[in-house]
This record gives sequence, C-alpha cells and structure tokens, in this order.
Amino acid sequence: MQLVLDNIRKSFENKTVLKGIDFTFEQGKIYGLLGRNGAGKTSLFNCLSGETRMDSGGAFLRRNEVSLPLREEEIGYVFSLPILPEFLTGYEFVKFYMDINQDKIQSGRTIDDYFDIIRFEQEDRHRLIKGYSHGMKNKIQMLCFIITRPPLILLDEPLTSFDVVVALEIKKLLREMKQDHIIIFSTHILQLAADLCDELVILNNGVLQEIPADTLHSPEFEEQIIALLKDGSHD
Amino acid sequence: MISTLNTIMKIRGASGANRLLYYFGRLPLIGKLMNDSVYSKTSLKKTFTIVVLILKIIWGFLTKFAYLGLVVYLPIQLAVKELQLADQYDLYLYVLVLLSFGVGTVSNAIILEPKRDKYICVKLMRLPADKYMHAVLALRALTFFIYFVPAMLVFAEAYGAPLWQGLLLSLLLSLWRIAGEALHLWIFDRQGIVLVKKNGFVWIVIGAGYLLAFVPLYMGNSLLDMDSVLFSLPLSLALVVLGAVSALYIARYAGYRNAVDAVTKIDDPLLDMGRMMKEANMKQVETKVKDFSAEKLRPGQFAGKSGFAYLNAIFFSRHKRFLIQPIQRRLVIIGALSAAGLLATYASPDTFSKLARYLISSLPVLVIAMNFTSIGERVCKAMFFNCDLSLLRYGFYRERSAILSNFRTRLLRISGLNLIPAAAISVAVNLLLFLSGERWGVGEALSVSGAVLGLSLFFSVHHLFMYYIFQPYSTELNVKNPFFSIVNSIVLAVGVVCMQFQSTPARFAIVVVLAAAAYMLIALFLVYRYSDRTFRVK
Repeated sequence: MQLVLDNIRKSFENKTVLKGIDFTFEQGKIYGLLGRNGAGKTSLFNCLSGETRMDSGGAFLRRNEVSLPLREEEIGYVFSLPILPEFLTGYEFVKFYMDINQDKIQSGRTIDDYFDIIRFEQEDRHRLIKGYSHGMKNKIQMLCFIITRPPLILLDEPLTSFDVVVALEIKKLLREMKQDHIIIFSTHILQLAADLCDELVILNNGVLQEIPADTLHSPEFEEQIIALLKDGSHD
Repeated sequence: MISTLNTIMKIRGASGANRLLYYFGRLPLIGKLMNDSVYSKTSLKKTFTIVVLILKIIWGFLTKFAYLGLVVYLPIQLAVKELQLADQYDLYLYVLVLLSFGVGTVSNAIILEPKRDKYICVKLMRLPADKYMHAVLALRALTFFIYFVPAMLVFAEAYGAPLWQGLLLSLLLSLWRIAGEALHLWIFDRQGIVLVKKNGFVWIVIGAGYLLAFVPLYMGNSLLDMDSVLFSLPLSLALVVLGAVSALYIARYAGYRNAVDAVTKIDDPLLDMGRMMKEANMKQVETKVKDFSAEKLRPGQFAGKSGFAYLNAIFFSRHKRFLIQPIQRRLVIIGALSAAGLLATYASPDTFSKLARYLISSLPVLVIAMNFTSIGERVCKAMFFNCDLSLLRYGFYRERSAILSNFRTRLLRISGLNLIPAAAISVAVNLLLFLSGERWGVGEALSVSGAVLGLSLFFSVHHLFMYYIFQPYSTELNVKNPFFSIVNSIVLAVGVVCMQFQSTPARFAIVVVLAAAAYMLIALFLVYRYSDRTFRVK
C-alpha cells in the first residue's frame, strides 16, 4: 500500500502555503514531517483529512497497482490540540466511536480492553472529558485509530504533550502498529523525529523533500536539517 | 511629557488605522480591492492615522453636542417647554450639575479605568506608568475642556444666557472632574478600592443621579437659582483652588505603577470586550461539570442505545438546563395566564367576553406567540458548542448518513418537547373560549388546535433547518452567516404581516397548516440534499 500525493496546492488569501506537493509514502514506515512554524504542516494534514479543501491536486491510496482517491474514513487524524466532545465521559465517547465504526472494527476487544492498551486509569474512564488533562485527551484521540485501524494515520505534534513515560508507551505502540499502516507525524522536535521515524521528510517552501535515510543517524544530521530549513527562508 | 504623549498617540493611531483598514476590508465589493499587504504600506497608513485622528476629534465635539442636546436639552424641551427661558436655563444647569458633576464623576473617571491602551503602553511597551498616566490625564483634561466649549456656548445661547457662562461652565466642570479623578486615586491609595469597578455602587449612583436630575422636570422648577449660585465668585474660586490642588496631587502621586497594575491584569475581561462577549456567550450554553454526580456518569445509564441515538440521549440528558427548564417555564406562564383568564370569567364576565372576542379576531397573533414558545435557537447553540464543534472534526461525523441520522434524532426530540407547550396552549385557548359563551364549536376548536400544533412543528423544523443549512456559529459563538439573520428576520416579518389579516379560525388554520407544511417540506428537502456540505465548522 502506498499513499500518493499528486501536486497538492493550497493558498490562503494571497499566501501560497503548499506549492505542489508530490510524494509517495510507503506502508510499514513511520514518517517524520519536519518543518518550521507556519511551514504548512497542519495545512497539509487538514487537506489530506478533508477538513479543508485543497485548491488542486489529489491524494490516492495505491493497493496492488490500483489507485483510488483517499477517503475520509481511511484516515486517522490526531490533532495537536485534542478536540473531543466535553459533555461525554471518555468511556461514553469510546463506546459511541465504536458503535459508529462497527464495520471497521475487527478484533473482539471490549471498551475496557482498549482503555487498558493506553493505560487509562479505571476511575478516569467515567469522568467527563471536560475535566481531562491535555495528555489524557490526546490518549483518547490515539485510541480512535487504535480501534478503527485506518490505513493512513496522521499525527499533528502528538508526543509533545505527553510525559516521558506515556511518550515511551505511545512510541512503542506506534512501532507495533506500523506494519499495517502508513504513519506520518509532524513535529519540529528533531530528536523525536530522529528517534522514532524511519523516514524524514521536510516541508519547506511549500514543497516536500525527502531526507536520505542514512543521514538520519549520522553525526551531521542536525546541521544538515538546519541548513535545509534555513535555505528556504532566503527566497 | 510631550514625547510620551507623542508615543501614545502613535500607538493609538496605528491601532486605530489598522482597525479602520480591517473593517474597510470587510466591506462588500470595495473590501475585495484590498489585501493583507495594505497593512505594510506606511504612507497609506499615515494617511489613515490622520483620518482616524480627525474622525476622533470630530467625534469628540459631536458627542458633547449629542450629550447636552439629547440627554439634557431635549427632555427639558419635552417636559417644560412652556416655562420662561430663564427657568428652563435653571433646570438645564440643574440637570447638568447632577449628571456631569455628580454621576459622571463616579462613572466616567479614567484614572483607574481598565483599558487595553493602558495595558499595551505600560505592560507591553514598558512605558513608565507615571509618565503614561501624566500624559493621558493631561490630554484628557485638555480635550475634555475643549470638546465641551462649543456645545456649552451653543446651549447657553439657546437659553439666552451670556456666552461667558458657557465658557466658565466648561472650565468649572473640567476642574471639578480633575478633582474627581484625584478623589478616585486617593481612595485607591488609602483603601485599595477601584471605585469604577464596583459595578453595584456605580449603577446605584447612576440610577439615583438620573432620578434626582429628572424629577424636578415634573415639578417644573429647579429648587435653586442655579446660575447665580453656580457662577458666583466664591464658588468659582473654590472650584479653581480645588482643581489646582487636585492637579498637583495627581502630578505628584508616586504610586502609579500600582494604580496601573491594579486594573491591567491580563485576565480582566474588561480589557477585552471581545473576550467578554465570547465568555458570556459560552457561559450561556456550556456543560456544567458540577451538574453531574459520579453515579450519573457510570456506564449502563444509556444501555440499549447505540450510535447516534446513544450520543443524543446523553446529550439531551446532560443539557436538561436548555430543554426541560425552558419548557417548564413556558408551562408555568401558560398555566398562570389561563388561571388569570379563568378568574376573569368569574370576576368580570364582561371584560372576559371582550377579551374572548379579541382573541378570536386576532388568532394570527398565535404565529408570534408560537415563535416565542418554541425552543430551538439556544438548543442549537448548545449543540454546536458542546457537541458538533468538536465532533465535526472527525470524518465519520461529517458523512452524509451520520449528519442525517443525527438530524432526525434531534428533530424528533425538539419537536416532541415543543409539542408539550403547544398542546397546553391549545387546551387553554379552547377551554377559555368555550367558557366565554362566544360561539365556539368543535370545528373551530379543531382548527385552532391544528394551527397551534402545526406552528409548533414549523418552528421546530425552522430552527434546526437554519442550523444545519447555514451553520451560523463560529467558534466564538457569534453569528457569522448573514443569511441566517436575514432568513430569520423574514420568517418573523411574515409572522407580523400575518397579524394584519382578519380571518375565520378555519381559514386561518388551513393557511397556517399549508404554509407550515410547504416550508417544512422544502426545509427537509434542503437538509437532506445539502446539509453534508453546509454543516461544517467555519
């Protein structure tokens, strides 16, 4: 399975943020999407998820040489600011989510099984989401894609809000899941990207660039990335 | 001080110009000519800054004219036109003293006023607090005087008083207000009290001041020979001395840093009207955590339901505040009105039968009445803010089938709730008319009940239809979509027009039911056809 982005363009008012994104993402890999503040990482994710419409271009999922347009239900999207209906308890939200997505759930796990996966305290499950911390809300969002297992998983600045223990758990989880998915996560924390990702792509000047895999663990990694990112700001 | 003043004026000017440009850009047609780059065109902005300054000065003069003309002069004209000019002048001075010397001194003092400008200049731009306050207060005193002079002269002339009195009055008032500012500062210094933020006190002073000011208009004299007292040498001299001492106190006061800090806390809602509105809006519809005890949140409460039915069951049960309470309140009002009607049948059958005839002849009033009886708008707001705002970010929630299934559940709920007061109204109206002795047969009773229930359904569909098609709310909950307001006003206008028609109950019922049915069909069709595209967070 591959995710093919074909010439995606997007501008707001007079500012062109995405200037023709062409890229192919492979199944089984975790991609780190690096970019400076305002480079358009969230805009790209929003375009992919259907949240905002792209001006031109398209995104396709290719399976066995057959390309089909990416559909909304094939995407799991974790927002940097977790947005959940606050009048529900975590348990109720997950139940509702499972009801709605019944047809996409394969395993015979119960709601509590799922909560156990993300190590969610028993008593917290039955509190209103309104009272949850940022990290707890983020966990619930993660749970959404753990439940439905969509082929494409987008994570917008996901691990920054977790404490070290939870971050490690989530990292493990992502690594376990990656065989069946295309996982892209945006960040501007280099260490995190180098640590977790198999591939690194840079969004700079409205286009995507791949970073050769061997640089990822080379000693000059940091300088090279910085040089690349700086390059863009000169035009 | 001049350079400080210059800096402050530049900051104010730039933000004023930006604001003007911003609103200019929002104008239809012309706004399209502008793009964001205008904010960086310095020469254009300088022009705008000057335009803003000129507008502000004109505004300054105009408000004084408006104040003296509309608040003081006009009521006197209306109340005691027949009095001699000299007596009217006494009243004019009397009202002015109470409002400007009295109320204004309490409600309109700027020395401890929470203001964005103050926050920006002192907290963000790090202007020394004393320099800032000196400059601002000097500017205020000067402009206060200058803006008042022309208006004072004109109104002195209007009462045939000598012009020097207008000039002197402006001066005395300015001096008095300086003393007022000093008093506010002194109270803050001694007691730590910011008087302008004591809303209760300020409103009591405003209420009492206006009451005292306008009561003599009914009695027709001002109790005192105002001009000879106000413009007497001793009083004038006293005010001059008081003003000078106060100005000195203000100039030498050492604790401005505290005085500014006390009113520029970042979370003070008064600093930011926009945020205050937003918070007020949200408070109206927010979910309150304390409403739910732990056992209410236990699973099993809504067992047996699933999917959207489950979601809506929880939503409606946790937002009873917006659903059950308003319905209860409406039932109480309907009950009270019918009880009053029943009482009237026994107490004064004559008035009652008059009332009954009026009721029969003005059935179209029911259109407006049902508009106010139906809940919907606030429920939609609560749905948006507490539920849809977050869930609409999920792809599955935006799917057509999901939106429609949700719409159906909600429509059934809201219609069901609205039918309760509607049924109560039709029972009450029919009962009262039946008892009134007017001719009121089964046919009429059925027509009116049909019309009331039809209208109730109509408004239930209406609110939800508007919400799903126009989705007017932004994240701040203010209405963004102009069409929402337009269509809403049209519906209300049609209701008002309906009231002008005289007709029999049967004909009225037929028209209402047919119109409502047609509207509902169109609305439901539009929702089924387009809501998956229109129902989004904007």
